[in-house]
Amino acid sequence: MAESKSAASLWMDEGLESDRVRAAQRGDREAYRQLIRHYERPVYRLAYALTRNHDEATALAVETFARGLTEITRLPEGKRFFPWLLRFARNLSVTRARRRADAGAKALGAITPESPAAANSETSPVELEQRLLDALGELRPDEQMALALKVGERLSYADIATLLDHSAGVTLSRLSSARALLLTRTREGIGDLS
Amino acid sequence: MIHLTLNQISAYIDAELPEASVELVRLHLSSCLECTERFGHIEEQEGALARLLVNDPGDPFFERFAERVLGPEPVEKAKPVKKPEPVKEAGPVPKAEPVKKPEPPLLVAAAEAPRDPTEPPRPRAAPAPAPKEAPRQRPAPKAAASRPKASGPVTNDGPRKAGAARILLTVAALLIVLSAAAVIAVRPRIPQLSFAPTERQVPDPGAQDARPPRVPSAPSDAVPDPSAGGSDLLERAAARSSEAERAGTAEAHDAAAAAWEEALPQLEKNADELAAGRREIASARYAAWSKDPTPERRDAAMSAVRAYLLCSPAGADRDRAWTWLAELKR
Repeated sequence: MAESKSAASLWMDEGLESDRVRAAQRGDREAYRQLIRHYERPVYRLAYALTRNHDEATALAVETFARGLTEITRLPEGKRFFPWLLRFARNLSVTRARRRADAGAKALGAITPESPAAANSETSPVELEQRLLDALGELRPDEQMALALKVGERLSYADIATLLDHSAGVTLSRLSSARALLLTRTREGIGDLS
Repeated sequence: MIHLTLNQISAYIDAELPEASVELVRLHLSSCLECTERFGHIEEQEGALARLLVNDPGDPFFERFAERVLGPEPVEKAKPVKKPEPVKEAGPVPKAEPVKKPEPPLLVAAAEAPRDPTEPPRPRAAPAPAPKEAPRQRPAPKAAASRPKASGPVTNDGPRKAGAARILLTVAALLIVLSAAAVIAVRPRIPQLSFAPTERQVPDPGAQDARPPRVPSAPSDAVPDPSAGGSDLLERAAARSSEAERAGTAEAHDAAAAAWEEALPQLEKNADELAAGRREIASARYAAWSKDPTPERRDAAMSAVRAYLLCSPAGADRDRAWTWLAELKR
């Protein structure tokens, strides 16, 4: 069983963060730089888990912080910065994935890619990873976010729920449905996973 | 028999079940082959996901991350230039960060109308430009591998002293690289190389010529020479790569790939060298396809790139391979 990591190390001290946010809302770019410096690693890690590509992850993380700065005046008093920022990462990731899919569809023309055949029970690790890569794009954005925070940050359901603004039960549900989909795409004859 | 649900297995794997339920799940797993098998699959899948979804670009990347959003820090807060680390003869090869032009800050003026952050964001008018693919790099001796990264772009906003220090560092780095090149020239035996990347040209897939597809001809020297030793195979592969660079033809790249494939067993004892060998094959196959994009070359290139991706460490080379794969899939 995988032990969960505490999310405490992710967060900036609440008082300091509130102070930095207020300063950034007044136009203090150095205050926002401090927020970036604190949250850049988890945001990059999340972006990498969503894109599986360093350059894409970098661009997504940069754009996330840029969007956060654009919208910082709209961050409600008393609301934490990090979960609010993650919404931008999620939405921007969806937009980017859509653009990639559109570009891919144009390049492919009318050809519909065949869905990868599920593997049998003796799938090699190499094949498994390739099939997972193909299947990850099929997950819904909320499932990808939950999986990224679980695998990338090893957070508990409660911490993931806090960051994504839903309940721990919803976290469990999203992780389970993500795992079920990946399993059916990578394992032949896995049976009913409901 | 009532089986475990996926929710229960998920919560068990994530250590989120209450202790009483954990015992029940354990008891069930000890007697139910089907659930045990499913549990094993999910555990294996989690391990694979951890390899696929996690990447740490390292501290140097984050030292300048905020600049990408906001521009350079004020001068008084600029960090001093680090001294280059001494050249090491052995040890792990540091990741080669692609040398990139400093990107302009993405956000200069936030003039957009306020909106609800939960809505999908509008496309930006001036998104950060995708970094131009760095030139392909090829194996270099270990001495060159540990050269400092101070040869990167010199920012124009630092104090004069920092600029002078960076120039000195650049010169020092160049001297180290030149000495390393001299070592290669004298004794170019691949087993002594660490596969640290240096400059190498890779054809731009967008610059493919319009020649009709041709069936790749097998290179005349692709047949293994039974008398050739391991180091001979590696030397020959390196020579084929050099020839391919000079010739720039698909056939030459095919020959280089074939030579590296032949030499691959010599690299299997060392994971880093094996990854570097697979990188050479992927690079050559991709280059051959770029020059003459036949379906056969595309299949060979996809297979080679995938094989490299599955054993490659995170970093610029791996990222580049992903772009190759994306190009090949189009």
